Amino acid sequence: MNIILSTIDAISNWARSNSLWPLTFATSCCGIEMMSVSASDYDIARFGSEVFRASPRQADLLIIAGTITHKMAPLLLKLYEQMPEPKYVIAMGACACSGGMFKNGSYSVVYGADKIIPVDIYLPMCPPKPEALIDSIRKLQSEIKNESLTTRKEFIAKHKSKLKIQDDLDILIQEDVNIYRMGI
Amino acid sequence: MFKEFETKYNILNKTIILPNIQEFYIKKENIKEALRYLKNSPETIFSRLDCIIAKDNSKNFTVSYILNSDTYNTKCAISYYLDYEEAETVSIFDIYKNAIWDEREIYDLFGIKFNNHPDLKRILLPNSFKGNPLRKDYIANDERLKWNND
Amino acid sequence: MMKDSNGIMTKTSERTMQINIGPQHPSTHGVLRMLVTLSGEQIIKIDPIIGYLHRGMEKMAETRTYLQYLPIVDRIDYLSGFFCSYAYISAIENLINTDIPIKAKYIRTLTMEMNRISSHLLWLGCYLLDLGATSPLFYTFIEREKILNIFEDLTGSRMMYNYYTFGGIKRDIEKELLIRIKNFSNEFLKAVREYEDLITNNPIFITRTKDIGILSKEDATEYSITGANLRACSIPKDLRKDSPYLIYNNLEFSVPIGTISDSHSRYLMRIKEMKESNKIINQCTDWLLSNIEDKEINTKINPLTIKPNGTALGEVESTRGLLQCYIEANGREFPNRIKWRTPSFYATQAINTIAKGFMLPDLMSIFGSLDIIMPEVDR
Repeated sequence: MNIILSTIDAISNWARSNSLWPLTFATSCCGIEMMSVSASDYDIARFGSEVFRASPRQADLLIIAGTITHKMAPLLLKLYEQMPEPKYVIAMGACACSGGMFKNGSYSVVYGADKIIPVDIYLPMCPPKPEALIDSIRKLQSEIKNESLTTRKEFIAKHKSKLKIQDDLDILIQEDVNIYRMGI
Repeated sequence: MFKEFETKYNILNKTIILPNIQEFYIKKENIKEALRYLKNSPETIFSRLDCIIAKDNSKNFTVSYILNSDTYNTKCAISYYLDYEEAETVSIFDIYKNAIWDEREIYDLFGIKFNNHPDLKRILLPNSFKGNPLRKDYIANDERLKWNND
Repeated sequence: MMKDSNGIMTKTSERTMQINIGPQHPSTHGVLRMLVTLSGEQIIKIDPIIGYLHRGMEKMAETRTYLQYLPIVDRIDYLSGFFCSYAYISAIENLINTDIPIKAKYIRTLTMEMNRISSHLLWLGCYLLDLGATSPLFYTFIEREKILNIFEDLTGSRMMYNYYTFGGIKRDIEKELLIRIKNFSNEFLKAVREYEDLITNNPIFITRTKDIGILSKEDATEYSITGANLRACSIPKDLRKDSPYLIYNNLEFSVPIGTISDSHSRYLMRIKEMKESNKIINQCTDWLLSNIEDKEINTKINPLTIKPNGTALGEVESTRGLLQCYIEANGREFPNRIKWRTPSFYATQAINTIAKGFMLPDLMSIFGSLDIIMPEVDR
């Protein structure tokens, strides 16, 4: 039984790791470097991640490229929850890792995206060079190749979000509910 | 070019914003008339409002309007003081339309109310945010800021 | 005829619908959110909601010394960091009353104009991407990467330069780099011609941009719109000509003016601006190459001991328009108040006026052509 499971794991991991589709989630400066990665000089297509999706429902890699503010935090959680399993997260840039240079003195920046969603790869620097992002995607790929379904579940269950969907999200998204309703 | 303006409105104080912008302090009550005069008078024609700047001086607020004249290629600043407790003034959106967002920003970050404003609500921070962060006596007591500390 | 939620019959043309665009949307260039009220496909009202990237930079200044605040300034407009640096530093140089060496002035002008080109190139690629054309992005990024590589060799960073300092610049420019810049500027005209062949007369591009998003002269003044968006509606306002700073007095360049400010003419303005910037780069490199022996780039002010007093307004004609930095200093090592006047803030405010009456698919064409960047709006 174990042999069969591990073979299935190996095949699915190989397929997953070589077709990571990132979500275009660019909040600030790092988003531009993410764009450079997909453009002519760096060409992320070499590693199977060139298909940037605009909808979270079609993506399986969330590259948090930029600062997360308290106003943005509920939306980040919402986007993450809309992504289908299995999903992976790269915190790109110092702001997404820890708050970066805004950690001292800013009243509106979340000190690290891992306060909201589980993060697989941390990529510091402000902003990281395109080579660094490619490197972190390669690292994520090698991690995916070695994982099994059970360890992945444990990793996600271990993380506790600071954001309670019930209260925080509802206050901020309440407007949205009205928006999708057809007005007169 | 400001001679008539100076005689017409009571100038409390005159300073200079470096490099070469004249700043006039006037009474709070006169602000709307003064701006309307500066915009329409053929000697000045300040057709453009560059920005509105609010400052917290710990005892009171200063509100400054940086005006820009396309015709004469000059700038000037009109300022007035505002009581700390009162923190209420008049909106000038019917003179310069771009003041709408500027005033919302000042309301958001300083808590200064602008009367007659068409849509006075927070602009940069979430609607449920507590406090006005650019005030000098601001204490970070919003719930969201607490989860940053652990 | 359709029934609404209360069961009352209304004409379809009288019914309105609200849709939400953003903040996570590829065409909003960051995190802008727009509530669009539609009647059929026609836009009745747009309510932009900003603040998703508000990082509190103005408050941060109050707890930092003038030197500590310097690297943060680059992040206000990450596509053209040199302009923000210059606005901030020129305000402080006014306060402490220093004049910078002539070579530093030339290098500042050179870097700023190159930055303008790199920012416009990114805008051009993204704008066409918004309109559905994928390939121009790859073309413009080739040239953009060349500029970024030069910047990396000069300053050590691709985007956040932190290169200017109080009273000059931090590092001298070498001869090899100047020759590289010279080669780049010679080749760049060819590249611009290539973009124009690809884009300007493309029938699809013309249908999507011509007579779309017309901004009247009066509205542009009322909403305090500056930069290429303003110049497209035939108002020749450019700070480089109106009150020349640095060495713009000595340079030969023209300011392109349009006739009617629609999306297409705003696009043309930026293409022409890139050519003019290229001229300036050429003149600056020529001067620097002939004055390579001049080693004075800095007035050697100790940035740690700056304790200015008074108020100052630093101004610069940035990529997107008039950028102002207002500083009130009170003799301590921290400023009392720093306020940023950013051109994108006012352009975002005017979207409602510009896009009203056009169709929903035109919104991206209008919004993209205004060249709005979100960190500048939210600060």
